[in-house]
Amino acid sequence: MSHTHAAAGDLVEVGGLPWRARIGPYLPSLVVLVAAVVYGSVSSPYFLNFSALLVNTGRYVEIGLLALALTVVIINGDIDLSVASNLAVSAATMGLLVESGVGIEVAAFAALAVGLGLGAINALFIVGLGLPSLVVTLATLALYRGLAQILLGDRAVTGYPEAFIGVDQISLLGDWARVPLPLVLFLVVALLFSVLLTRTNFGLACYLTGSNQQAARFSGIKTDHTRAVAFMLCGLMAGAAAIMLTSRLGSTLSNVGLGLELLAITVVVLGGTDIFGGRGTIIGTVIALFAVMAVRESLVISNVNGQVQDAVVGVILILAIIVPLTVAHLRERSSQRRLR
Amino acid sequence: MRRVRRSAVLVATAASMAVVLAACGGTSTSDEAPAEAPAEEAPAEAPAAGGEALRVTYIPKNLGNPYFDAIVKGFQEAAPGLNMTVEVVAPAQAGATDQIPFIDAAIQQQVDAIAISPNDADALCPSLKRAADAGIIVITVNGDTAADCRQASITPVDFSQLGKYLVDLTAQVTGGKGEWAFLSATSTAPDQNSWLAGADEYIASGQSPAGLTLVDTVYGDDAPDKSATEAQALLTKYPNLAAINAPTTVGIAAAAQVLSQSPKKGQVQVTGLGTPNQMREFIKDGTVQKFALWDPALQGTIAANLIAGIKAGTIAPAADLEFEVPGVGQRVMAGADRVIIAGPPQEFDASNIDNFDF
Amino acid sequence: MSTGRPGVSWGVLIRVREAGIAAVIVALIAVFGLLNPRFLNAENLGAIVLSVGILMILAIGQMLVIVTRNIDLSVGSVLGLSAMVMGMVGRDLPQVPIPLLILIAMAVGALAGALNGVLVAVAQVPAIIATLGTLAIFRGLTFLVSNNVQVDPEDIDDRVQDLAAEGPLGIPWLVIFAIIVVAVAWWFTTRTMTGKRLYAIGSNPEAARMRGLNVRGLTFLVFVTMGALAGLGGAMYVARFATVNPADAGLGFELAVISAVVIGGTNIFGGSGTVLGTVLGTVLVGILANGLTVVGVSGFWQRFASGAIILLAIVADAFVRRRIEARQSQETTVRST
Repeated sequence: MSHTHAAAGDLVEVGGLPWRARIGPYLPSLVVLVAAVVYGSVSSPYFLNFSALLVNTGRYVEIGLLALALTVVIINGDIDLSVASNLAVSAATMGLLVESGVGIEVAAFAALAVGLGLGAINALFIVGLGLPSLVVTLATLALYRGLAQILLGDRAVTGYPEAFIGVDQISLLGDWARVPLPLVLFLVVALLFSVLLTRTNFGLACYLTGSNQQAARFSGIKTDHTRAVAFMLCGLMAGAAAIMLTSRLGSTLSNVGLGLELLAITVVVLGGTDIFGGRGTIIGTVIALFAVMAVRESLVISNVNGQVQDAVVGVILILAIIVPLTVAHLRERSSQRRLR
Repeated sequence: MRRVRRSAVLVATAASMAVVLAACGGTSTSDEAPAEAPAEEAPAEAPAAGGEALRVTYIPKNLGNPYFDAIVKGFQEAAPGLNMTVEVVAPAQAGATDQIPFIDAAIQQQVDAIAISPNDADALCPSLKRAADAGIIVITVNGDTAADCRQASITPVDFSQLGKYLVDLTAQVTGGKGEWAFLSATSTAPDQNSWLAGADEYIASGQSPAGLTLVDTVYGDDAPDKSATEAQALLTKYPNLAAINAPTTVGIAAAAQVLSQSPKKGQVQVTGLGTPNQMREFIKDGTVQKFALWDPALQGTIAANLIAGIKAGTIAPAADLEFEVPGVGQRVMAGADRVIIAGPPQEFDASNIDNFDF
Repeated sequence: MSTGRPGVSWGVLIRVREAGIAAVIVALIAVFGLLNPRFLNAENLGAIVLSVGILMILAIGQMLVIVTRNIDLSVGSVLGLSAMVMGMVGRDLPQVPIPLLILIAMAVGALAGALNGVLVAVAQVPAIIATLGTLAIFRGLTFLVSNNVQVDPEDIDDRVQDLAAEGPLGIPWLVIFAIIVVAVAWWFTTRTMTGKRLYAIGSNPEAARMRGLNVRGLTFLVFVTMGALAGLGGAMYVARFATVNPADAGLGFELAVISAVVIGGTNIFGGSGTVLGTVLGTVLVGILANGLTVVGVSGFWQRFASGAIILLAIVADAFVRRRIEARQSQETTVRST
């Protein structure tokens, strides 16, 4: 299946002009982004409020952080369904530490460490024992969420210091242009990930591992090492997202971040990353994040209910894959006819 | 030939997905229609504040829940007379943070007021405070946040007495003796937890019916299958169980359904809080003797009037303020927390259940 | 990794695997029974059978999907959609006979499955992505068709509810349907060419295509079957719970179903899996859910425990598989010298 998939993608690149080949992978999410902005502006006079949209990016940064790390994991040919549960454990740890009087800096550091640790546990089962990542992280999805519930029970932790709460309300340039701090942090992390994937040996190893793990191993790439690092990065980002989310909400419950993994995976795939590995870019993921955000924000401002929002995102996810394939097919057909 | 056919199927699939997409968008706009339609025919005797209609967004916990539909009904029946339009939007799940985008959207839409049935007491506070900063009236309905995050709160009945009431209700259906258990919603549900705590206090005080023993409290997570599993487990664990009390509409229906098909039907009583429409069947077949709730619509009516009053300046929320709700009567914002009790509990049994439809 | 040729070693592996799950089930029953003897009383066992029944119908379908190297994440939403349509038809047209209601639920499910099938088999969208999308789409459709209104118990015919309580020889119809599904699936996977071809597709789709198998057609068929079974599960859901709420019905079932299939030894990468294993895996999941509750394990620990069990199952599976592969390669070395 992945084979045909790749072949169809190649056709787009061969058949089109160079510029088209370059933006080809991003085309679906760009189209979605533009369409959502148009829809939002037409359906609600309140949608095109730039500063409000900027502030609202705060809600998507957590998804974005998870999506960045998931991009690397998926390029490797793996998947991590446990990220949102990992986020909950990291947030719970941070909350309990703050409650017991530990300083917020130490607690935040502990959240990162716990996230990294849980990512390492995933890596241990998947890479160390050679088990499929889909099943292992399906299990740790339940396991980690259960751990968060055991840690917090039915309590909400609320005793965070005032100075820590509300990172999404801090804007970098004051009132002149309300660029929220989380957005800037996200873009910086995205840049780092982009450099990691495109300018380092690790990045190259990821693409090769995802394209053909055996071939990569034979050509001397430490595929086990590469995959394990990706899972740990994913855990680290879950910890970082936990800090952001906790600061935004000012409280922690064991069900925090429930279901974020599906949104994050949707973003990655919409951004053109091949779910079977070997292909994908950080830029694609970033554009897709803003596309999903535009879709959600335009629907919510038009008073569309939650389930319908989810369904629309589902349709877009599928269309984003089908339409380019269809276009490629039609083009192939017409070129064949021309040859005849 | 094959190729041609496949392309055709691809195009057809893509087209059909696009149709689904259009259908989703289409229905969402038609959803708004019923809420807005009455406003356009708003009668002339609109309050002096009149002129442009008041725009109110009500955010229930989630959709498809007949209980919140009844609150919405109360809102919409009161709205035309108050020159008010009510927009109802809700998230897919009742998660702690799922309502936040809807609050933010209401702020962006510059509505006059937000009424919300919060899913979480703390996580929504920052967003609600931002709404208040933007000059939007914020009230909570059927559930509450910290008192400084909203101007007033409407609670269906006196929640501080509800724990005691649930114990007494159990005593009524069991004749005051035997083992009984709570089947609650999620373990994090703030309302249910406060009632459970109230019941514990009442029992600990020694004033509760002496023959009753509370043997367990289990959580069905407001999911029918989990609730049914838990109810079944209660029947198994406690062979002498006299009653299951489920203070949640999902839980009570699941427990009644399990019992109606169990040999223990008649031996074990199910009671608690449920809506008449979902429980009518079990009252009629004798599985359930009596259960209770309140009239959820009343909260919608009071909320609509309260918002109109605050906007017009006739009601200025303050501790122990008394105010008149037209057609309902005198109500009071009790205590520094400004909590308004909508009314008394309503009990349902075979004699009166057919008089209710919600 | 071993391919789908069911050689001697595979037979051994499968037998070891299934004996292992059976042993765990027996151990669990013993532990739960010791901790609380009432776990073993007829009424509680009856309740386990009912909840396992619905799960089983879905798990069998999911096993067939996974065997072909695909996955269906939308099963819970398909169950919800078909339960909703059946509930609404029963409410609004009370004269519709019960068997027809069940067929309607199955037809809705099959239609939903057909969409999944077209997306995966024809449009070549990876199954995990396609069904992740339709998971949300079918849930949204459930809301749209129901107009956000749930179907109440009073609107559900008593004879529908009796499907989960009564039947021939005192066995509820729900259980009989599950047994029929299991029996047909067993016959299909072990006695028919089409059934065996599913394993060939899952082991190596390219090779299967070269051998002239209609990979697309069979994949489509499997998704339609899965949909129809989810529809039957929806009908049984209506019977058992007598309420259909657009948000709740079938929510999260995909996790329980996939867990059951994986615990039952089906390889998530396709090509292997048995009906017996799936049956045992489902029973294990059902016993665990009921038993943990009956012996009073706090709800907080239950999710943790279910995650741990899946992890344990796959680690044990890999361990056994590797031991057998090692022995097999040893034997071949011995034979070759």
